[in-house]
Amino acid sequence: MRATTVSLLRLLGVQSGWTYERMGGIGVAFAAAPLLDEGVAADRRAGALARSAEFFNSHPWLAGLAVGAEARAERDGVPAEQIQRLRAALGGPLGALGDRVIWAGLIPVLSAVAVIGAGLVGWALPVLAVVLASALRWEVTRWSLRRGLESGMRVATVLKDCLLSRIATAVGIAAAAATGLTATFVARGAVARMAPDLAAWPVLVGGAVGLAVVLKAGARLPAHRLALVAGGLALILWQMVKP
Amino acid sequence: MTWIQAIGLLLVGTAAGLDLVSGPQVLLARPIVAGTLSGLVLGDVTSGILVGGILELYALEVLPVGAARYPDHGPGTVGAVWLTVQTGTLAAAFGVLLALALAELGGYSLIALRRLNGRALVRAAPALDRGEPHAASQLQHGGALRDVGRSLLLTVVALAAARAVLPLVLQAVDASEFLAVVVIGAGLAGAVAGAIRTSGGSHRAALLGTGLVLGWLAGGMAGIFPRWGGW
Repeated sequence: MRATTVSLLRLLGVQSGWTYERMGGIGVAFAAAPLLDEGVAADRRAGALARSAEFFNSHPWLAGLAVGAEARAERDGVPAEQIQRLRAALGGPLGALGDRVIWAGLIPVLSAVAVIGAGLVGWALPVLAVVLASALRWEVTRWSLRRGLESGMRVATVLKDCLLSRIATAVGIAAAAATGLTATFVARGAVARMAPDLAAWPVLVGGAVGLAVVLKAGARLPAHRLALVAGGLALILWQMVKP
Repeated sequence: MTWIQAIGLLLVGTAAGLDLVSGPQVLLARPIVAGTLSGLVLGDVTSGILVGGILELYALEVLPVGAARYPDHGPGTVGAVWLTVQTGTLAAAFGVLLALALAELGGYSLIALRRLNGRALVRAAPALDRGEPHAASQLQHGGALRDVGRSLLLTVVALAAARAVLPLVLQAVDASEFLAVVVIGAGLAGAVAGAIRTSGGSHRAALLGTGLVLGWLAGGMAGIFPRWGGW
C-alpha cells in the first residue's frame, strides 16, 4: 500500500492516543511515519519522527494538513526550528476552522437529517446520515493530506482560500436553522408519543425556563445536568403527592 | 433479550463510545444513531428513534473540543432503549434520565482514559524522543484498545443499570407524564442553548427562530401519525 494511503487510514483514528501532555501529537506522529519513511534522508529520519510526536492540537478531520505539510517540509530539508514553528502556528487555525465548520456546522445539519428523517421516514435516514458523514470525513481527510503534502511550508495559503473557509458562514447559518427545526420537531413529536393526553405547551414553557437557566449558569449546568436535577426533584415530589 | 441481541447491543454501544474520540467521528456516537441501531437490534425501532431523538437534543448542546470534559451519550443510549422497550414508550423519560446519568459518567471515563494514555506516554517518552518508529504506533494502538475497553464497560454498566432500575420504573410509571415534560423541556433548552452559543450573528439567530417555529409545526403534523418514529 502506498505511504499516502496508509497515512490517510491512520488519520481516521488520529485521536486514539490523545493525552493531556501532547494532545494529538502521538496521532500525528503515527500518521506521519509512513510519509517520513519515504523521501526523508536516513540521517534525518529519527529526528523527524521525534519532532512529529511533539505537542500538537487541532481538529481531527483537518490534522492531515499538518501531517502532510510537516512531511513535505522534512523531505525538503527545512531546518527543524522552522518545522516546529510551522507546527505551533497551524494548530490554532486548524482547530478554529474545524470547530466552526464541522462541529458547529456539518454535524448539526447531519444530525437534523438523521432525527427528522427518522421521525418521518424511519431507520434508514440515521443510517444514511452516517454514510454521508463517513464520505465527508474521508474526503476532507484526503483533501487535507494531499494539500498539506503539496504545499509544505506554504500551507497557510491553503487555509486562507479553501472551500471550507468559504462555506463556514453558510454552514453555520444552515446549522442554526437545522437545530431549531430539530429541537421543536422532536419536542412536539415526543410529547405526542410519551404524554398523549397532555397539551404540548407545558414543554415549551419548560424549555423556555430551562433555556434561561442553562444560559445563565453556563458550563456549570448544561442541559443534561439540569434534567437530572429536575427529574430527581420531580420524582421526590411525585412520591410525596401520589395517592 | 437473546444472546444475539445482547452481543448486538454491546457492539452498538462500543462502536458509539469509540467513535466519540478515538474513531473517525462519523455520527456513530450520536444518540439518534446509537438509539436507532439499538432499536433495530431489539426489534423495536420506534423506541430506539424516540429515545435517540430526545437524547440527540442534549448532544446538540455539546462541542467535543480538545481537553474539555464532555458527556458520552452513546453507550447510555443503548441501556435507555433497552429499558424503554421493556416499559413502553409512555415511560421513555426514565430511560432518557438513565442515559443522561450514564453520559455524565462517560465524561469522567474519558478523563480516566486520557490519564491512562498519559501514563503510557511517560513510559514511551524516551523512545519517542529518540525517534524510534514503533513508539507512536504502540501508543496509538494501546489508546484505541483502552477506549474499546472503556466503551464496552460503559455499555455493560448501562445495560446492568437499566435492568436494575426496571422494577422501580414499573412502580413509578404514573410519574411518566411529569417526567416527560422535564426531559423533553430540558432537551429543548439544551439544543437551543448550544445553537445560541455557537451562532451569535443576527442572521443565524433569525434562522434559529424560524427553524424552531417550523419544527414545532412539522412536529405537530408528524404527531398525528400513530407511529411517530417511522414504523
